[in-house]
Amino acid sequence: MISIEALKSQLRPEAALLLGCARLSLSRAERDRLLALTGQVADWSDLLALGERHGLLPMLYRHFNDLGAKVVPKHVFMALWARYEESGRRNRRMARALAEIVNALEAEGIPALPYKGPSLAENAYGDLALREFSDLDILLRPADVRRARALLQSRGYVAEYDLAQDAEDAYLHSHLNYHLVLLHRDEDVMVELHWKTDADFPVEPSTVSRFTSEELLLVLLVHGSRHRWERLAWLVDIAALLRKYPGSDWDWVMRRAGEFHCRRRVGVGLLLVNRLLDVPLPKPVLDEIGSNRHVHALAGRILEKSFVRAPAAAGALNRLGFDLRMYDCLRHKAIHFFSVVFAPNLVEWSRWPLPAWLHFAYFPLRLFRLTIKYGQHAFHRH
Amino acid sequence: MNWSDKISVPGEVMSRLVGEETVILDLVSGTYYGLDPVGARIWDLLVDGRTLGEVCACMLEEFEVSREEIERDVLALISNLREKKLIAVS
Repeated sequence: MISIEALKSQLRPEAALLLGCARLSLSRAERDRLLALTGQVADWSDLLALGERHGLLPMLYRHFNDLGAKVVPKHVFMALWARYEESGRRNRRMARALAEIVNALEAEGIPALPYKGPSLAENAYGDLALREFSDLDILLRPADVRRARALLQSRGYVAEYDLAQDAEDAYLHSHLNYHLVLLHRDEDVMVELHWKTDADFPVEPSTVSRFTSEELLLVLLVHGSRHRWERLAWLVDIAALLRKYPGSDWDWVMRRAGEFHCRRRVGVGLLLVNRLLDVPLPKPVLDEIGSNRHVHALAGRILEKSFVRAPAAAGALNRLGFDLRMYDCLRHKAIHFFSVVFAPNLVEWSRWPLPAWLHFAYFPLRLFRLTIKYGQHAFHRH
Repeated sequence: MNWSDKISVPGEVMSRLVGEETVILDLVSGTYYGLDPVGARIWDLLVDGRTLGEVCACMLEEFEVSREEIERDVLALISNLREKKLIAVS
């Protein structure tokens, strides 16, 4: 197993530069290092592609702008400036849409908690343009989801998948599901209505008015691990949050992670934030995650994949294998395996409407659809 | 177009200094344009809300060129910027 430090030292200049820019502010030493790295970049399009993949183009703009536009070729700087401005405009539009939705929900007596997206960008980054996001996440009380969905539909949003009434009942009541997606095609806004923050990690806020910083930290750590930390921007979120709230109750965080059997997933995120973005963590936390060889192995795999020049789409079995390794205990591995392989999702519910007494047939239908889908992929690859 | 006209810049068009060069960015097309020092000074005066006549008067004070030459440069730049939809004249 190659250590994270060894992997970091082998990064090409473009990847090292991106990693160096993946932070909200720079020390003098970090500035000097970035300046040195800009002189070593051989392929600026590689840097832009990496920035795109990791959601960090606005962050690159901010640092190159501070360092002086001339440290990068003019066409690179202009591309980054354009992206930063577009990101700011889009995010301000999304923030307005979010405020309208939350106000409308609250006017109907539906408490709503926006998290991630604009609220995170404003709160932890202090600059709405700096954090790119594609959707608006809103947490609701489970009992309010249908009313909230109806209200959004009355405002021009349409559900991503059209479900029959009994299919929607089953979908909303399955403990494996946690959100509905609605789209406003004219406004180009996507909204996710959540009644849990994650299927197998239900961090419910103490009230539906706000998260504590520790709750939000756990939500973001589990979210990033669910997506295998494929974007560095998710790690920057964690770093930004820890910077904003330095006095986190780490005992609570680690205890809660243990109660939900997600120490490994939480540990991988924290190890990456510490080793890649140089975010300091308390010694007991570092000792705990640092001594876990699974956490090290998983973090190393993530780092290796993060900076591959042209990432090949990982096969479904590879992804599933990796995800299973992220779970702490056999029971949660089994639940995840079942939910991926057998549990119907919105595709099955909407494509094959079945009467309630036939819902058991969704399990073999799901397996059948996946077999056809990935069987065809495998066939075409050969 | 009259000498008492002013220009306005659409919301999707922005400008700034990049190094020593003034650059105009059009977010709609994603293209950018660099201005030489004379063009940059005309641009600054225009976006400052001066009329075309006032821009010419300022330029005459600052540069040692004839009125005809300045008027020709100002009109050429404005025509170019209008063509690229970077400004509107009102």
